This record gives sequence, C-alpha cells and structure tokens, in this order.
Amino acid sequence: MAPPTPEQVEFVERAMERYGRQTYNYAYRLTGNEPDARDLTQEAFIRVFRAWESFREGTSFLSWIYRIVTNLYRDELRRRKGIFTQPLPEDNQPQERGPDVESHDPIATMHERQLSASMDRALRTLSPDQRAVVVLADVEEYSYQDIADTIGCSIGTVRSRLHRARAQLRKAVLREQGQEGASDAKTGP
Amino acid sequence: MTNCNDCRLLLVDYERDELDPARDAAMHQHLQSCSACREQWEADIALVESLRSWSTPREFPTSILANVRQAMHAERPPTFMERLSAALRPAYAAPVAAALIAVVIYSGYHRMNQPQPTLTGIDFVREHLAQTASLPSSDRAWSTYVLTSANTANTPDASQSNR
Repeated sequence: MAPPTPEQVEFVERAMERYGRQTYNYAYRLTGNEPDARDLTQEAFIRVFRAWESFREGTSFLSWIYRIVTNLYRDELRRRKGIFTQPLPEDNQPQERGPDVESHDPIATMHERQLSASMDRALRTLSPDQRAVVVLADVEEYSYQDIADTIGCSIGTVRSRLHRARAQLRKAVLREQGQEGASDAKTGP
Repeated sequence: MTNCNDCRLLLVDYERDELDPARDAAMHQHLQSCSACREQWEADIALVESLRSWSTPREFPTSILANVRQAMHAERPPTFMERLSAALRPAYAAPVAAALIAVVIYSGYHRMNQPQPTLTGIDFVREHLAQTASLPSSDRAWSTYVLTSANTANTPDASQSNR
C-alpha cells in the first residue's frame, strides 16, 4: 500500500471532526449497540482513509460515508448470520449519551429507557435493508432520492421498503406495548 | 377523489411531503373526512416521533478517533532500515544469491574452457633469435659483420681475391 500523504491524513481528520458524531449515530441506529457501532464507524473511517481519492468534490461526504457504513453493516450481518449478538445496554449501565438528553427526573428517564428498549426490539424485527431505509427516512430525514443514492437502489424500492417497514414496525411496537402493559399489570402495586 | 386503499398506500409519501400538489390536496381532503385513515396517519406520526426520540444523539467516542489515527500511523512510509530489512528478506535475498552464484560458476567455467596457446617450431626459433641476437656469436651478428663492405675488404680471403 502507498504511504499516506499529509493531505490524506488531513482529509480523514477533518471528516472525523465534522461528521464523526453523525456517522457514529447512524451506525448506532443500525446496529442498536455501542460496541458494534464503534467498530462499524472505525472501519468506515479507515475505508475513507484508504479510498479518499475516490471521493468526488461537490458530492455529499455524509452520503458517501453512510453508504460505506450501510454496506459494512450488511456484510457484517451476513457474516454473523443476521444477528448483532451484542446485548443492548441494560437500564443500570452507563450510556454515552449527549448532554441534551440527560433528564433529572428518574421516572421520566426510566420511562424513556423502556421506550428506547422496546423500540430497539421492534427495530430488530426489520430486515437490514428495511432498517437502513427507516433510519435514513425517519431519523436522518433523507429524501427518497438521497436514500436511493445512499443504499444503491431505485426510488420505487425505497418507497416500498419504507411502506412495508413502517407497517411491520407499527405492529411490532404495538406488540411490545402490549407485552409491557401485561408485565406492568403483573408487577404493578 | 382518494379512497381509503389509495390513502393507506400514499400515507408515508404524504407524511414526508413527497406527493405532487394535486395528490397532496386530495389526501388532505380525504384525511379531513375519514376518521379511520386519520387515525392511521396520526399513528404513523407518533411512530416517527418515537423513532426520533429513540435515536437521541450520542457523543462520538474518542476511542474511534484514537484507533483510526493509529491505523493511519501504521501505514506511514517505511524508514531506511525497514526498507533495507525488507530488501534482505529471503524472498528477495535468495534469488539474488542464486543469481550471483550462477554468474561466478559460469565465469569460472568459461575461463577454463578458453583455448590454450599452442607452441610450434617457429616459436622456438623466434625465441632463440630474440635471446641470441645481441651476442657476437649469433647468426645475425655474424652475417651483419660479414656482409658489410668494409669487413669484406679487410678479410684475408677478400685481399687474396683482389690480387
């Protein structure tokens, strides 16, 4: 491999500084856990470092790195036969969250974490491609065109995947809420 | 006019503002009048809101920064010693050594097979002449002495013949 140039190192440093957090959050939303999100983000930036010359000026860097992360996520899922085996952080484990989301109300915090865990379980019912479309469309608020460019499919495919994913997610969330309601009724005062 | 089936199919596009103005207006009108579809639409909006609150932003872990930097550093240009040791690796050194040995053997063999000088009779005569040319008793010295006119005139044989 050719030795790195100072411009190459500078390119990656700036990319991590500007887009590192967004990339890590996207990876986290895909994988649902911190260790895998960390590995995915790290590998994505190393790929950027190796292929920095293939980045075209005037195009969106974020779309480029999201495409890298999505492809790595798909490959990793295939390698692990469809499951990211790392467990979700438990309620009593510290999490690396932003300062804006810290709540001083312990009941509200617990409720938020319960919702987060049930949403994560619901998201696990989606296929990797459906999950990527949901995250890009509903969390990142990408347009159909941008999603199609990032994932590498047609707008029609994006629409149908999002439609199916929403329907499946809605059912899964209702199921989770039903289970939580039942367990609350059992353990309630 | 949009019916409930069309509405369910276009609900996601409507919520995302991806419909053309005519369809958007038709959807809006249908949602005003159909409570079942409106309920579905509100459920979709609630789902998206839960997704956004689920995905609260997290800080970028510094360990990623450190590991990527380490990976970049690992791919720095090799130093002189690294290049030298790489050049001396068996993969390179063995063929070079073999080539050198082959050259030495070939040149030695070539030298041994060169034709040796052969001596003939004329070589011995030349050698003899070269060694004895300056001696008074040599054939050349004698013939030079005899054949000069002065010496010829002073010789006893020559004076006898002049008479």
